[in-house]
Amino acid sequence: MRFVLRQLAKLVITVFAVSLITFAMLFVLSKNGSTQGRNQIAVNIAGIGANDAQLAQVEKEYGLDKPVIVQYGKWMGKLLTGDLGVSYATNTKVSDAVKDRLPVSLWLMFWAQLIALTAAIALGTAAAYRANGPFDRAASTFAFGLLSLPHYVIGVVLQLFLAVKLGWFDAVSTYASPFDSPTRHIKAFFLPALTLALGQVAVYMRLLRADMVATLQNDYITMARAKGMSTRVVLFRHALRPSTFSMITAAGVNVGALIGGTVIVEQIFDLKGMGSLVVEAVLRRDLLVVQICVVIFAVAFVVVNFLVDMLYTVIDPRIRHARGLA
Amino acid sequence: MSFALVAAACGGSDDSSSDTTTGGSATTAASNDTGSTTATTAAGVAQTTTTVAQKPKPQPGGKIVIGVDSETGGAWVPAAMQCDSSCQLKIRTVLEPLAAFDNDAVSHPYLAESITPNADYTAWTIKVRPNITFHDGTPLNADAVLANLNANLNGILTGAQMTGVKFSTDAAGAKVLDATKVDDTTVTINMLAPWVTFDRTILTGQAGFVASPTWLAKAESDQVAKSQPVGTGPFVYSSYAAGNNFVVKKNPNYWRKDADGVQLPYLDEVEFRVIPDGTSRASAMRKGDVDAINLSSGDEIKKFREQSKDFPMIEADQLGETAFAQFNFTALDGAFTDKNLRCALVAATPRDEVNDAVQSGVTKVANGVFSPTQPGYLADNGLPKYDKEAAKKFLDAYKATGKAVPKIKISTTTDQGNGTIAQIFQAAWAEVGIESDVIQMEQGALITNAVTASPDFQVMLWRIGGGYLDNNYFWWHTPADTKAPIQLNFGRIYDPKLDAFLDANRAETDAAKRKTIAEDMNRYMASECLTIPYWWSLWAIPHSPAVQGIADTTIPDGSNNVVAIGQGFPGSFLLNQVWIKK
Repeated sequence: MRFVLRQLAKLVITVFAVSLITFAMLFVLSKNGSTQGRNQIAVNIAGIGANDAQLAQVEKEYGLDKPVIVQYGKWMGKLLTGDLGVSYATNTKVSDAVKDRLPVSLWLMFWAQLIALTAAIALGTAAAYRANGPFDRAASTFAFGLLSLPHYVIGVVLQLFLAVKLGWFDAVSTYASPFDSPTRHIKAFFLPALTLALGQVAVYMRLLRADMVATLQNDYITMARAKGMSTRVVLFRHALRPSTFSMITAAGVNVGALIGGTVIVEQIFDLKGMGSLVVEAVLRRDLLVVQICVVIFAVAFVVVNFLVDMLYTVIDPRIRHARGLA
Repeated sequence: MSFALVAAACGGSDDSSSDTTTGGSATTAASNDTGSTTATTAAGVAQTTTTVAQKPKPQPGGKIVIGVDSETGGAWVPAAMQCDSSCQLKIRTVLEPLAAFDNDAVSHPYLAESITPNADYTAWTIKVRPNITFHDGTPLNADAVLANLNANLNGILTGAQMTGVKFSTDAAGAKVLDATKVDDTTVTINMLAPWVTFDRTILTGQAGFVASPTWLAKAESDQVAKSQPVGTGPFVYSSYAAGNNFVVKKNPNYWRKDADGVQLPYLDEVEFRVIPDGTSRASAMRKGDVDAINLSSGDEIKKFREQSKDFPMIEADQLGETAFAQFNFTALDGAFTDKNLRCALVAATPRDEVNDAVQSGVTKVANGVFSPTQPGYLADNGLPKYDKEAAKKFLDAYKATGKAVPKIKISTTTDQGNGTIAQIFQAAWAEVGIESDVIQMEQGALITNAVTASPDFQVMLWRIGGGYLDNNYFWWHTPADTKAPIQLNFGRIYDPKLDAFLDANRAETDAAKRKTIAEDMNRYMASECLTIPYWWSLWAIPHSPAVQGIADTTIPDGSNNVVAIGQGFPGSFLLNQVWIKK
């Protein structure tokens, strides 16, 4: 329990730090709170075409005439109560945009991770079982090949062949909920998720293979084999679980890379998720939306890594006990 | 991606025998600014449609999805919208203007029943049609017209178009039109000076849209309400997700019926889906993800021409835009105020190569900001041709004044084609000894740099709206306050000669004389190398064979309105008579 609380405390501190930095972004960009700077912040929020009344409204809404700490408190207070503000660039609620776009990116990352982990477990286990054999060498070469390819190359190639030439999938993805239309959901997400997943497969596979090769040298594996257990049972029931630590750690850390990947992949497939939202917001200098997106990305990253930490204790009870003793 | 900041009004009834446009009358005999009759003007319209020759009976119902090339900045209050072709296409489903064009760029009353000038064009009287209500139940009347025109007068973009109207300033500093409410449906607007083309310049475009005054008042204090427009149009706003889609649903109480008395519109729902990349948009069209798209990429237009059996396509360049490079006269210590430097850049630019490389030669190479169907167009206006030796001579003349040749920033949008153009410019200029950097940025940032004349804006790739000369008044005329931080005369080109052309054109009642003025201005701009024009835009609407009626759309008096939605935005079309063949 103490371990969980400690991790939770770390999570809260990280989120607080990120929110502070993100808030400061707008403030620093706007001439450090001078009267001129204050107006500049209002102009940044309201847009260049805003008239005096609109600027005054923004100043009041965000407390721009108050000390910085008060401004931060006001901003954080709104954030915590779910009031993400209104984008003056689009005249729409930021919360509406997030509500529309977040599921798209979450599904994209979910499918990408699922594809990557499933493929990595199959390939990594097979490669470890016959380490240094022809399959292992071929899989390693394939993995390094995939690692060297950036998302935008994989995405465009997949789009060209599987969508444009063969017409199997959508070239331009339109979000459909899996609960409303599973077929359209798969058609929309398969290529973007595969694009994101392929690079991850290589990383996960290499890590799993290395750990499993070591695991397979353990005495208890020899014992299991001596008892006459099948290869499948030995590999998947006894060897896999203790070999997944590095892979799971990487999967947690890779959430950051996945978020970065969604920015590129959503652009390629015109998928309207958080990645494309942040790109649109950056390009139109919509700082409020950029701030919210950065906070959401940061929170997602630390929450996933918190869950990964929790997962360790499920996979290996020794960790839970060791931490409990400490 | 095309963009024009303001929906400057174009084309209109410029009948030298009658200056009154009256609702319900088809003014087929009217002549326009080209000085020719409507019949001959129509020949100048590049319109190709392969929709069925025999018109089947429209079938009401259904939904279509249209892929559009851009999101709209400042959506959807008319005074604040940055309204390009896609914006016009979208917003005209909800908001309607007081006047509109037919295919020959002749203006006709739309929400107005009549639009009449006084004898010397210093006052215009607008009478709106009776018994029309906005989607929120507010009646369309004289008060609604005044509320909208006053709001637009105070908009940065629309206000810049309305520079010729008379106004006062109220206690709060807001501009108030000098206008008289004649009766419940009629208002008279007073001008500062004779404004012959007020009806088509102002009333057909963005400044002529009439939104619900109730909604406008609400949007003053409610930011989100701004994105939920309320008009009189054939469709009612349903939802808007910026950067994604804009959805409208059938207005069951729409005031218009078709020629057979069937209630318009035919469609139940229209979704506009933003797909900025031209290739992705075309791909979505081919795969059936969308039912129609707007397109200005020469490469894709060429491909769709070859697929005309599968995808009927309407092409339009009437009174179209010009793609050109704009100089900022305040940048680089005023380097571009020197004509020799400008002419060196014009002569050093291989405009044919640009057109071939980016537009596959589909569009015509431009020689000025007057496209072939615009009054003022000249086949040879004297613009220096591509000639490296001539460019070097101009540059030598510039250097002879003791000035150093600056390193120039060429700024443009993130569009791939625009990047290619900028790189061709960069390479060609380097050959004559002018170094440059290419800077690509989002369109909104580009516009911000332009309206503020940021030092980062030195040479900018841009498109100017088409239409008639008066529609482009504010782009080239010296503003009342030259110190204003935001100006639509992007380049800060304060030239008394340009001002004289523009003012004379605005006050001239004779269409033939206006044409001459526009031609003189074209020659002057070419001789001064004020821009580097490279092509005249062509827009196309490829669509699914099931989508019917794009070419049959009419305005209230029955005139056909397909390509001339106006203001140099030929990529737009009206949706009130579009239907799906089941």
